[in-house]
Amino acid sequence: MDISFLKNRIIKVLSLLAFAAVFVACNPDLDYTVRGYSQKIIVEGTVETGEFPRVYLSLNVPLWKTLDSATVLDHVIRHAKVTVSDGFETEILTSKWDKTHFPPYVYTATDMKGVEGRAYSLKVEYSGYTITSTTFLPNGSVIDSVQFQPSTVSDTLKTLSVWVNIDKLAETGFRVFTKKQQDKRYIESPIVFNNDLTLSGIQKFNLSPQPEKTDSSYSEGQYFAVGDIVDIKICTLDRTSTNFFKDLNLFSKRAGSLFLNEVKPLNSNISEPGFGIWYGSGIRYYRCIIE
Amino acid sequence: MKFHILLLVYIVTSHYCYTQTSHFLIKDTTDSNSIVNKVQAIRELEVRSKMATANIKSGSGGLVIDVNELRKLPNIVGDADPFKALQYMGGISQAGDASANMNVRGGNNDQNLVILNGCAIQNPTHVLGLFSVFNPDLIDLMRYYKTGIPAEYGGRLSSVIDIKNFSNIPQKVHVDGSVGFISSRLALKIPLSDKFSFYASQRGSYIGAFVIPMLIKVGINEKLAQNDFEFSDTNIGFNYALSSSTKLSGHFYTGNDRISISQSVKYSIDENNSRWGNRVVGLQLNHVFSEKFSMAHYLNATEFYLQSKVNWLTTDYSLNSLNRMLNYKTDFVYLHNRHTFKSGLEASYNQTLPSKIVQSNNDVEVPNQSSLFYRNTDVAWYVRDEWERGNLLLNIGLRVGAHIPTPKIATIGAEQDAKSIFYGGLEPRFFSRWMFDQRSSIKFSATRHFQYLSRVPVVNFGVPLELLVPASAVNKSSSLWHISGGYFRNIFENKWELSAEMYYKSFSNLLEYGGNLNDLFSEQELLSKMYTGRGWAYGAEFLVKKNAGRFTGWLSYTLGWNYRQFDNINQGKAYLATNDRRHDFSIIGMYKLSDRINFSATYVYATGSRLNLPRSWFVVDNKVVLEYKGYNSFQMPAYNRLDIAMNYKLKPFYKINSELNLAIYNVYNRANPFQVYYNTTNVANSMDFKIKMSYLIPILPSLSWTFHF
Repeated sequence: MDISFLKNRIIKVLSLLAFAAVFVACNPDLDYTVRGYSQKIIVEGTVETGEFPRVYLSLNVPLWKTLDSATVLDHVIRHAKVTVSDGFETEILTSKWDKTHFPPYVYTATDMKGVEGRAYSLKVEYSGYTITSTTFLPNGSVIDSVQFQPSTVSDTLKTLSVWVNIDKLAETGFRVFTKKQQDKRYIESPIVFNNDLTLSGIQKFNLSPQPEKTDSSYSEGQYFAVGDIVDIKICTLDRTSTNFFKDLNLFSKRAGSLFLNEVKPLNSNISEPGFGIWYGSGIRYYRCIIE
Repeated sequence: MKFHILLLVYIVTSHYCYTQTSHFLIKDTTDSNSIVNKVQAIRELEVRSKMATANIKSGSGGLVIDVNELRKLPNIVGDADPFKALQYMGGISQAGDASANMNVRGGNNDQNLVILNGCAIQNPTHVLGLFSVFNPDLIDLMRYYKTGIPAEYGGRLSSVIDIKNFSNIPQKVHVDGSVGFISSRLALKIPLSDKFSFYASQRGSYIGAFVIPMLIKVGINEKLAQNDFEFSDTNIGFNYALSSSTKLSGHFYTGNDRISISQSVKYSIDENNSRWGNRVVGLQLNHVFSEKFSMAHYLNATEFYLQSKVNWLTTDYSLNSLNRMLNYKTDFVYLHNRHTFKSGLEASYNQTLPSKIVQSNNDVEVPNQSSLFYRNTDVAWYVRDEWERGNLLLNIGLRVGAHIPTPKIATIGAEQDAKSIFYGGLEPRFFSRWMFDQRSSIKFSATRHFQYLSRVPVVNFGVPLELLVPASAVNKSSSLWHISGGYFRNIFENKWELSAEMYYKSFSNLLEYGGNLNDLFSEQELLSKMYTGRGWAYGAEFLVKKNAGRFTGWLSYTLGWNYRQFDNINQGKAYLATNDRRHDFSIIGMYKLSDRINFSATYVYATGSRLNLPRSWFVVDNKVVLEYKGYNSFQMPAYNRLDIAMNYKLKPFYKINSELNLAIYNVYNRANPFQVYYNTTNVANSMDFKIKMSYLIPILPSLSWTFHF
């Protein structure tokens, strides 16, 4: 075959391919700018036994928006009117900065404290919208006993279990937090115990706190060292709140990152256009020394 | 020429070195399908007299795939894979980047019946779908159905890919092989006498030993060295002509995959490794009673296993899935006047372990309660007749199937009673063709199908993590009505083919897993989160194909809609399915520059998949929460890609014929989404949360050397 003929054809083919390549662009990022977004008032409010009610308000953040230290305040609600009532008294909450929390701005009462057995209503008025919610503060649960078991990772590290007396008729679930002496905060075992509300009588629950790198007990992980003085905080939740915190673990960033197949949205007890949780929490504190 | 030869087709062929030779092509009457599709291409031979009007006359929706032609197309890392090339056909969309998984006319990937030598293969892909499990050097015949599926095929809803290994006894020893960038393969076909031959092939990758060290040398992150992706497969078989009318064939296949990812914090996984594989062993007996009557028997045993270990949220999980099947099938073919009758029986015994999960927390193993071993027997009988008279051709059949679960299911160390519910029913199959003249025809088909074993994805994009779920007392068998019709026309002396087809599919009892990893640990949760719903898909396919000349190829376009409706999902409202592809477009071009050099290029464009992604996020209880709005309402960016390849035949060296394949995959480096993940930063009272996507394959040139002698 004639060489020049071959060359001619190769050039034609390559030109055609180059033409095709030039006219198609790369698009390495997901494009969220054209997707739907509606603003919601996010509520995280709690009333605990013997404590002032606390409410944190924020706006949801669209996926396409980068949130840095300069823009984060755009999504913190600082000028809302927040009212809490327990059926006996009503109080408009005052607000202040709370740098230990995100969002870092809290609305809190100065007179009203949580009383077990009462229902609490919440009203938030912001930017022309009014959202409401009601919750119940159940009686706190009693830890009957604690149990230490050796771990296989070290002779000096133990696992900690609690035995809790459950009243099935109360339909309550539990969140358990622990705080070692060296820690500055209570650390949650990220499980809502009795979350299907089916248990009854004295039941055993294994605690597995998940300290973060900023916590002093980070190196011990979910274990407890012999000699540790451990404060235990057990929070009792009603049915609605139990279901919310059970699902919250699934919808949180760690669980949601692997499995995208969530087929139903997280249930909220806040009216539209609000979202989040307003919950009562029956609190009991205990202290033990790891043996 | 009594050796079950009925149809002799005399073909003038031209060898690539210009010598003229004559060959007979034989028709195997024990493998009777549409007669016009019986032309097979032989390696190194160019078939000139291929029936140009095959697409007009074909008796059912089946296509006989020209394996050698598809092997010329560019492919990832230079490894020719005809199975993957099917994705360029109309109505078939690729599940994801580099994936060999396919969605056919709105069907799910697990609805494709992939058959190797008469035996269904559960998972026909290697290395996340980069390669199919079929060694291209051994494929003798590849037949594909997406509509008008005849009654002899059952058990899956959407398509059939029927692959047969080489079955004729060769005249001399054949050696085929390939040396490539990621993997190599070698296949031997050896005749021991004029009645007996055997074959063996081996294929394997060396990513960890060669590719990753090389990438590290050129500056890729050293963490890659801690990851491992390997596969290997082996085929062994024989063909024995017991007499002039009886042939016995046997085959054994084993394939294994191993993936180990040391750290994937994006998914909260600290380490994981997975192994999976298929094993198939089988016998096939063909006997020809007369020129009109023949039979075939198939006996196969298969196993598919998946073993995954994951460390997730500081807990070790071990997830095992298993399916074993013993299958017997027999076909009888009887030719009478203008009729081709075919009837047969199929029976299989299945054992399925959907998921056995062992959780290790606090170094104490806690097996989950969902490790149930389902056992069931599937039986089916079918009969069909293909009848041609004048311009009319009818293919009418009936398949009667039944799925019978065993009343006992085994758990760990014990057996317990289970509800035994019988599933089954009639599967009528109807196909008709009317020829207006020798250049145009219309075709219509209406078929019903049942499927008793589903592979349900746990994640809906990226890594194919799936659960095997048989029909049981809780999960009904899936079913489908499929109606399709089209117009076919050839122009310019049959050098060009045009076609337009429309389809409508109605699915019942589809499965979708709505739970989370936590839910896999309880049988009650697992089953309660296995939602059942329905689906429907409709659309139109258009094809323009050029068959002759230096430049050949085709252009296919599919316009489709694909919906699902589940009572437990999206508040019961209908939503677009994950594999909804509104537009799917492929251009394939092959240019023969000379007898030694040919070029090929493929371009694909498809509307992005539907995903259930959040619209916004917020923080409650120091946890990032995702806000969703409408199930599957997010659409991924469109998929598009251009690949090019050049094949260059080298001069024979000591009777070794070989060719070099230079391919460039993803020429313009399109970042097609493979995986989406959540990226969070949480620094001192400020949080940022984004969904990002990763893509698997950038522009990837490859060079491989293929040889045969």
